[in-house]
Amino acid sequence: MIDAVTLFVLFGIAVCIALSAYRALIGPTIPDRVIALDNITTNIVAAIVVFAIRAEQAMYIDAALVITLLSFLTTVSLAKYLLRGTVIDGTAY
Amino acid sequence: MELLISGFLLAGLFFLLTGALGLLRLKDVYSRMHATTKSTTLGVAGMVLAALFSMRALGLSSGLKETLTLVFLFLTAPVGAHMIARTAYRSGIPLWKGGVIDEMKAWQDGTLDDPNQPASPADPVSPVDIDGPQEVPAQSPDSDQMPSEEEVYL
Repeated sequence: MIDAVTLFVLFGIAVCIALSAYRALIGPTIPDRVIALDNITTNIVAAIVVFAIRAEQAMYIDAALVITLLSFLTTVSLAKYLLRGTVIDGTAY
Repeated sequence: MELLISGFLLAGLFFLLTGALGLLRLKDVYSRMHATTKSTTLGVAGMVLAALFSMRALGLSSGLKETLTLVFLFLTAPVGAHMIARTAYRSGIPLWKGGVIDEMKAWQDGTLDDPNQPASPADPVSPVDIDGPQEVPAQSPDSDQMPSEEEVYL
């Protein structure tokens, strides 16, 4: 049962990633694309977690944790870059 | 236990699909972000909870890393969305034409009523006209110059 459900959920996550990738392609503004890419990253975290359940391996959770933090870092860096034209300029944010 | 894990997985998939559909169908940057941030976070939370129960039931993990993933996700997703929304507003991306209220612009103009101050009867606050679409700001006033030191920390 777990095998069937995890397979179904993985296909559903693939659909979500496809929809987000379409928005990232057509997105009229740059923040749209950033949001879409952030959404894709979050969906990938979900896919890794589901795959960990499917494979019964706990070590995949570490990858999910690291990708969560990397997603936050890239989002904040892109936001600062779009606003200021540079990432590290000594201001708080 | 399998039923519990499957239920969490399917609930998470529902929220992820809702977020992706909202990202695809809504009208402007702010409403798209509104759709994706909350529902996608909830979807991943459901899947991480399923992983937590699964790993505990199989005896593979103590569940610490799953909990840590959940905590970091709930901490970082709103902050990232706030940064992107702030960037979008400051770079002058207009709201959707059907949008009703823009409190940030009202606050910048000084026409937002302050809930801490009692409303003086001398200047009654004009009610928001919810029937017609609001004027969309063509360009944010300080879009092409660096914000001053006071505006940075708003």
